[in-house]
Formats: sequence, structure tokens, C-alpha cells
Amino acid sequence: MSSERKMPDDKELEDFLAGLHPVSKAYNEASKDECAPPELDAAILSAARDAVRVRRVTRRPRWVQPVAVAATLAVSLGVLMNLWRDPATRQQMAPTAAESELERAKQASLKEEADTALSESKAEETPAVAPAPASRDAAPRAQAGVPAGAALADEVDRREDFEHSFRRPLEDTEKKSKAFAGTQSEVLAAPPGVPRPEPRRDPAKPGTEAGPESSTRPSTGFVPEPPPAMKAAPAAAAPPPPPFPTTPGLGAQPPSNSVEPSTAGAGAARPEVYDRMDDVPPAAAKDDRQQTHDKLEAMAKERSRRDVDGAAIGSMSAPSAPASRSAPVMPPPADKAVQQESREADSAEDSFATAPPDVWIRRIRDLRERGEEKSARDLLNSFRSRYPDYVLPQDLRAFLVEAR
Amino acid sequence: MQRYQRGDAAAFEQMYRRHRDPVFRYLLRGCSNRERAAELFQDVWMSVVKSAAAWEPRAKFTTWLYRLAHNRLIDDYRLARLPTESIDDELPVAAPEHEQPEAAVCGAQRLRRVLVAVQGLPVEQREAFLLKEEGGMSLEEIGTATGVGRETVKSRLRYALAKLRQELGDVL
Repeated sequence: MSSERKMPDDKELEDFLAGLHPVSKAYNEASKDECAPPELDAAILSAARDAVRVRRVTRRPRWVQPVAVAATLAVSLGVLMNLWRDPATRQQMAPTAAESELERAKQASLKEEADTALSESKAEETPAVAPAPASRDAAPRAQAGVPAGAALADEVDRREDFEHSFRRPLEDTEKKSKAFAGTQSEVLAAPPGVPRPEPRRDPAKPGTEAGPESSTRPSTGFVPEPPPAMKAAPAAAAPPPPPFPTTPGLGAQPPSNSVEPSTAGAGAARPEVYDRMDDVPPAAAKDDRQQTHDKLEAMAKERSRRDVDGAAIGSMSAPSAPASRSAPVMPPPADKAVQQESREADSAEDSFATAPPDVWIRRIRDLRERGEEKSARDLLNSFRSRYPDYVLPQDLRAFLVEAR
Repeated sequence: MQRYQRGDAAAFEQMYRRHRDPVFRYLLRGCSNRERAAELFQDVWMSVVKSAAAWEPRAKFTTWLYRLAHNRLIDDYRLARLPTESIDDELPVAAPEHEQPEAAVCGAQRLRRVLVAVQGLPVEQREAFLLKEEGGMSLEEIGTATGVGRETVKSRLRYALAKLRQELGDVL
């Protein structure tokens, strides 16, 4: 009934959709022989395979990232281990290893000295008992009839040799600089050819220290002989002057009022010469000509003082090296020898100035350890002017504050 | 298609073998040129390969495949400003009924007349007819592939059948 109510087209359409229409049959019969060109098959199928391969390659597995992180860590650790095993690199990474060794040796000597004193006091109380060993090899010597004091002296000798092995390079350079400086200052008053005296040995018994300086020095088992400069120049131990402001034309050397008496006197008479040129208060009493003359004179003195300081810093090159930097200040025409030596000292200082900051720090510490406070202070000021951004170690910071 | 998405190249080949000839015939009837049909055929299947990674099984693969083919045909119509040539030159034009000898009613000529009649349909009607005949698609699927509604497809098919019946009434 429902099919009778349908339009004829609907019936035809239903037959067509069902595949029963004669047109559909005729079309299928007519077109069944039409095929796609086979030459396209290979191209399309190969493109499909390539696309699958590319997708496989580009897909990154999950384990790639953790493995990459682990590999990076492993390589980094390996490089660090290799660097640490290399002694040269380790020495670079820890430049104060020698100093720490020295400190360790000092502490060991202190401890052994205390042990020795204790054992000797016990030996004095009970002479019948065999003496306590002062050190590792002191007991055999005591048994062999060698007195304990001699054993201790040998021990101290060995420690001094050990310490000298660290200090020898620095002393060599210092000797060179002193020989170069010659008779320029009282600090370096000793003739360059004079050999450095051997350090005095600490006596075997602690109660019999020789010399008046023993009370002020720590009893570390060795008492180094103060350098002749310290003996000859008591003014070198004077309290430090205020830090000298750096002037580009004059270099960065602070004043040293103990080098020349005339200089010290001039400094005392005219303290304004140590200030900056623009800080000089206007001298109402003097005319401009006199002021200019005074300034020139002060700068010349300053230069001669700087020459001495540069020589005291310690040169690392031959004094005959040409001067690479000269101050634009006219030196006083009186002393040509002083000019020549000042030029040489400039070159020596310049050659030292090219040294890395670690060398400067080591040198300053060495000067301090030897009691040359003034030289250490001057060198520290020079170092600060040359390396203003360098962060000083704690001990030198304290020294700087103390110097101020 | 999902197997091919997972990297099974053999699945693509199987799919290709199944749909290769119907798609080619659909394109051939649509553009009336074998060379051009071959180019469109390659383009359609390359589009399938490129779009396989992004394909989602929201509809039948056949519907998606013929939609790609339909879009390529539309682009080709726009380029050629069709319909200008409705009859392939290679196919002999059917002579008027009164001019044909009695032997012309033989099988081969009858089939050619069917093809000529199909190619003589308007584009929309021909597409609906071909999608049904070659793709085996339902009214809804034809509407999805061509972007029209079901009733529109129905109407187009009605007109197409009426025209073919009129053209081929003597041979059917």
C-alpha cells in the first residue's frame, strides 16, 4: 500500500539505491573494464611506504631524554675526575696548597716542641729513667748518647730546610730586586753581594731563647733571621700612612715617608702634596708660580719614592729592560743617576705588574710573614690600584683595614 | 587506515587495491580525460598518504576518500571552467536514433551510449550518480562527501535517473 502511494521517481530511486535499476546495471557493465593506470601504483605505494618510514624515524622514544641526561652527567663527571687527577690542574685550582703545607708543618712543629718540653721536664724529674723521645728519631739518638738538645736542633734544621724549599723562589727574586735597588733606600741598605745570613737556630731548651726578639715571635721551632733591611731601617716598621689615591699619570704607588729623610721632611712640611691635584686647597698666600713649583717638586719626589718602592716590590726581569711606561712628570734635573735607576725600577715594576694576581697575593703574604709590614702594605696598595676589582682574601682585607 | 596509521604499509596497499579502480573511474567520468584523470588520481592518493597521520575515524574511509576526490574534481572544474566539454573526444558520439542502423544496438555501442549519457549529466547530478555507483555510498554519505544535505542528494539523483532514462530509453 505504501509503495502505491509513492511517486514514480521515488520507486525508481529506491531501485537505483538498491542496485536494481537498469541504468545502474548498464553503467556497471560499461565501466567494469576501466582500470587505473598500473604505472601509478608503484609511485603511490612507494610514497606510502616512505611516509611510514619517516614517521618511524621522527617518532622519538620515551627513553631518549633520560638517557641523554644520564649521558651528560656521566661525561661531566668523567671530565671532572680527569681534571682532578691531573696534578697541574689541581695545583691551579688550589694555588695555596704550598701555604697550607707550610701551616701544617708549623703546627706539627709546635706540637712536637710542646711534646719535647714536656718529655724533657719529665726527664729532669726522673733522670734514672730513659729520656722520652723528642721526635720520631730522637729516641735512638738519645740511646746512642746524643743529647736531646742536639736532636731537637736537627729537627729544627730539617723544618727550616723544608720551609726554605717553599721560600727560596721568592727569596731569589727578592735578592734580585735588592741587588737592583742597590743603595737607593735605607730599606735596602745592605749591599747586593752580601749573602743572606743563615737563620739562627732555636736553642734546644725552650727556656734559653736567644735574642730579644724571641719574646715577640711565636716559638714555632725556628726563628728566621730578620732581613738586614729590617735592621737598618727601623722606620720601615712605622705605622702605615693613609692610602694614596691613584693618579693615572703617576702610577699607583703610595708615598713612603721613610725612604728619604728629605722626602719625609717635605711630606711633613707640605702634607698637601700627597693629595690629588684638584684637592689641593687654594694657597692664598702663595702665588700661582710658587704653587706650580711646589707641585712639581712634590711629584718629582714622589717619583723617586716610587722608584724605590718598585725596586722593593721585586723585579722579575733584568734591570736593563727598556722602560715601557714613564710618568709624564719632569724629574728634577739634579740627579741623572736617580732618573736612570727610576726608569729601571719602573720597568721592573711593570714586569711584576704583568704577573697574575695570585703572584701578587703570594708576595704580599710572604712579606707579611717576614715582618716587612711596610713593603707588604705598599705592595698591597699597588695591587689594589692595578686590580681594583679583585676580591682580596680575608687576611689581606684585615691587613688593609689595619693599615688604614 | 588505522593499521596504516600505526605504520603498517601493507594495510595501505590493501586499501589502495580495493579503492583504486572505483576512484579512478569516478575521476575519469568527472573530468572526461584519461590523462587528467590519472593526474587527479595520483593527487588524491598522495593526499591520502600525507593526511593519514591526521585522519580520525569519524566517518567511513570511503566517504573521506571520495571527498578528497570530489574536492580535486571541483578544483579541476574551476581551472578548466567546466562544464565546457561534456563529451570525451575519444568516445564516439552517439548518432541520433533514426540515423543508427539496427546493428548499432549491439552490446558495445549500447555500453558506450551509457557512458556518454552519464558524462552528459550536469556536474552535480553526475557526481551524485558516480558516488553511488562507484563508491557504493548511501545518500547521507554522498551528502557528506559533496557537502550538501540528504534531500539535495536525493533530488539530484532523481533528476539524473530521469535524464538517463530519457537518453537511454531505447537501449535499456
